[in-house]
Amino acid sequence: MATVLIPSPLRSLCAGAAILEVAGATLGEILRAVDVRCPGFYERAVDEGRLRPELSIALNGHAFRYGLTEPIAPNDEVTIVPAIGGGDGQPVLEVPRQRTYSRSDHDQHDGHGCAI
Amino acid sequence: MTTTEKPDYKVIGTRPIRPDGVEKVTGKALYGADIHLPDLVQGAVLRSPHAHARIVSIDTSAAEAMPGVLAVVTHNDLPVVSNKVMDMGEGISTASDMSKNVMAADKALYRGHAIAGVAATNVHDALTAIEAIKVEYEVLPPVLNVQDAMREDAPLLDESRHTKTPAGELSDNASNVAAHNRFEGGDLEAAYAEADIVVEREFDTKMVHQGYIEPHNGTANWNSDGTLTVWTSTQGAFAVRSALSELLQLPVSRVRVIPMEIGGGFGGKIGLYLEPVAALLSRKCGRPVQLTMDRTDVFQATGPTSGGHMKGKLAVKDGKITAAEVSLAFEAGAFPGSPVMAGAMCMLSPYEVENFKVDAYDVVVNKPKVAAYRAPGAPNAAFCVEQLIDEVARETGTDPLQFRLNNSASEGSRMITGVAHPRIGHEETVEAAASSDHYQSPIEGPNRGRGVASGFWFNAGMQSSVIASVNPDGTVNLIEGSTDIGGTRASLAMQLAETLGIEYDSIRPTVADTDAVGHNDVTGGSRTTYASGQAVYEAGLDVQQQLVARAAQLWECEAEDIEYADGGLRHTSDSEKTMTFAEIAGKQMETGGPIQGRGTVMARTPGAAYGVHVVDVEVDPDTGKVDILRYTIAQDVGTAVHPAYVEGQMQGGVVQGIGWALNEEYYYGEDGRMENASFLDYRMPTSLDLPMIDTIIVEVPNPGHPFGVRGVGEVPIVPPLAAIANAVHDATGHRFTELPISPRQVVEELHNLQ
Repeated sequence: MATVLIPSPLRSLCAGAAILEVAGATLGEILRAVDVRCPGFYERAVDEGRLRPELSIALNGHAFRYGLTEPIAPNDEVTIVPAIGGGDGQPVLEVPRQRTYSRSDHDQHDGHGCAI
Repeated sequence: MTTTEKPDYKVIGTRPIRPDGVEKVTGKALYGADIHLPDLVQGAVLRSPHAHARIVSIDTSAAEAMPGVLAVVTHNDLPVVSNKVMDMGEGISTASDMSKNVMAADKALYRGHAIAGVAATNVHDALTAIEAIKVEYEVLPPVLNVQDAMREDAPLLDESRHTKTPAGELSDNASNVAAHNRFEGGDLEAAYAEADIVVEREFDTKMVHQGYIEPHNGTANWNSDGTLTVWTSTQGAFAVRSALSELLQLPVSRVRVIPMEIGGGFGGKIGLYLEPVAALLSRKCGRPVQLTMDRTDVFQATGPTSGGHMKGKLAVKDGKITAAEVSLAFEAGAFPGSPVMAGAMCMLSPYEVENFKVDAYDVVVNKPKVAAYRAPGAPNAAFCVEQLIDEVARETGTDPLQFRLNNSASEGSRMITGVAHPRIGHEETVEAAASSDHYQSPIEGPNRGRGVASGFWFNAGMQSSVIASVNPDGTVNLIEGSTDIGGTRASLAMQLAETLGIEYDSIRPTVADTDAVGHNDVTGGSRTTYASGQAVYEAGLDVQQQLVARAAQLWECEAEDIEYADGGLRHTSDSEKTMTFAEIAGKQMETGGPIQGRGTVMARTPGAAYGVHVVDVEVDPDTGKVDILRYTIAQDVGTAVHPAYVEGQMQGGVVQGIGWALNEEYYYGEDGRMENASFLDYRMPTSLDLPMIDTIIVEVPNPGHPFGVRGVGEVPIVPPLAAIANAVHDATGHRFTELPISPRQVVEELHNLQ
């Protein structure tokens, strides 16, 4: 069983648990196993088959952007930590573009324009 | 000072001349603005005069009609991009935010925000033309600091932005707080209840700029086959390629980025500003276009690092830190992505702290979008925590270095993220500082004081690729893709020479463009000598293996019978059979053709860096001027590949920290105008302001690197802010909690003039 340290922001998904022992041969399997006990966890950690850019994994003390196929040994310690870069990366709604007046208005300007 | 027996290296640890030295000191090295291409035209960028304004309309027709003008672009010329999260290496942003920062969309979010670009036959026509672009603004009130921005009734930079909460949800109300994260562990209240001492203070820091000498530049040629070539001053050609690919919606294979020599970066040349505008202009006019910034543009429109507000509280019981509670709110500038999380994760990492709560707020304000700056976020946060440490050490009557040693983290200690430290060298570094001649010498005289502080930085690994091609004369061409900012051509060549057992002068390193070498992440995160060094080591082993195979062919024996050692080959059971590296290199053609080694790594074990600083100051109570009398930096560097360049990094980081502590700040008027946007008014320290910065290299080898290397470039800027504040407190008895500790502030504080 690998030891998974749950960061405080995600503990609400795990009934407050800070540490879980789960089985899995790869990082993806470990995160799936955590998800079984903490529904919603996998989706918070993984997007489109990759660890979310705002997160990082520390495997036995070494933080890195591991792939989900990273092998995990039974006694490994897996810690989910925020990426150092920080930022929010949250979706924002697109806003309408401002009106631009130019000579190319007369040329069915599509935003990619041609030489003037 | 070495803590373990160091192998008997032949090249590592020496101080050879850098390969790019002659070109640079003779002025022949080519920087971004030195590029001259056939039909090259010049461009200029129109920038917002307002810190916060809705863009009602832009009329470019008059500019387009002017003589010499070849193309005009606005945000509408940029493709619509997704909210894909872009990791540029030392900072995360979305493609959408990046696009809006390149040229403003519906709103100008800071004074200097790019509005439009013009290409013309010469720069004078371009500058005249941008004046002819008519922009109708609806001016809005700016928010210029985190306290104002976090108020519920604050003007919003983006009405659609909600706070991402620690639980990962979005707040109900729109807010300038882009994200709130929290780390917590243990039982704070119990620790407070049992504590001998509890100290609590608030701290403020201002935005500061990296101050690199070379302004940003970008030259683009949109080729007739639809490919794009860009020449630029960047810390990461591949990061620029990825960002251009996303912003312009081009496959990466159609973008070639040629990194020019770089006149400083310190993290500020990872993002991009001019390159997409130059590319769009080139596409429109069919000619290569060059854009350059002047110093005012650099200050007003490129990323400095965050200022912010911090609240800190420490509890101590029996000389041990039992609780730490810190709230950090950092300015992100116009778009999210301040280094507040890095600050939050670094500031307590020198210490064992069982009970803690750390809140981190990423706050947008009407200032330029921040960029990385040398250990981003860590110096600000250390300014808060290291002053509190000083205060509790004083209250317990403990020597401040001894207090740090008594509470030091070591291998196995857990950071607030829960991650256990691997082998680290904080204790050794504190001991080195404590036993230094500086710390052992008394400081005497009125208005003089001594301060110390510790600092931590993670260091980064990431991706590197290199190619080592063996020449027939026994030299090796090393092709790498890491921008050389601080002497990495030399440090990488030295590691290849060490691996191959040949002379340093036999290695000829070249920094290649994105079409000529495999992916390399940015020169940032103190990663290049460590990670690209690991790739170089792998390439050296690859070459060794091929040389052994060639020798086996010549000697008609098995490869297992041949040993590669001391820069040559020898048969393990026939002492007559030996060949030097140069001899086997000269036999490539007759043994199967060119020999080329390759090394690619995803480096995972960078090994954190610690620094401990000691500084003596003298404060003039009449003028408020603070003089640095003596400064000593001790730092764990793992293994010093090129000690002179390591010392240079340590000294450079300290000097930037001194400027940050005593003089530097973005000084804003109420209208959001930066009022000191030149080096005349933005006061960086010069050699005349400083004593010699004494260095103590501590070597606790990183077990995650073949030569024990740790990154060295960033951590030296972490402690100076707090160390100097602690020294000024020692000299005056006043605790300075706001940066910079300028003459004005010192006089006001000492004479109760606030």
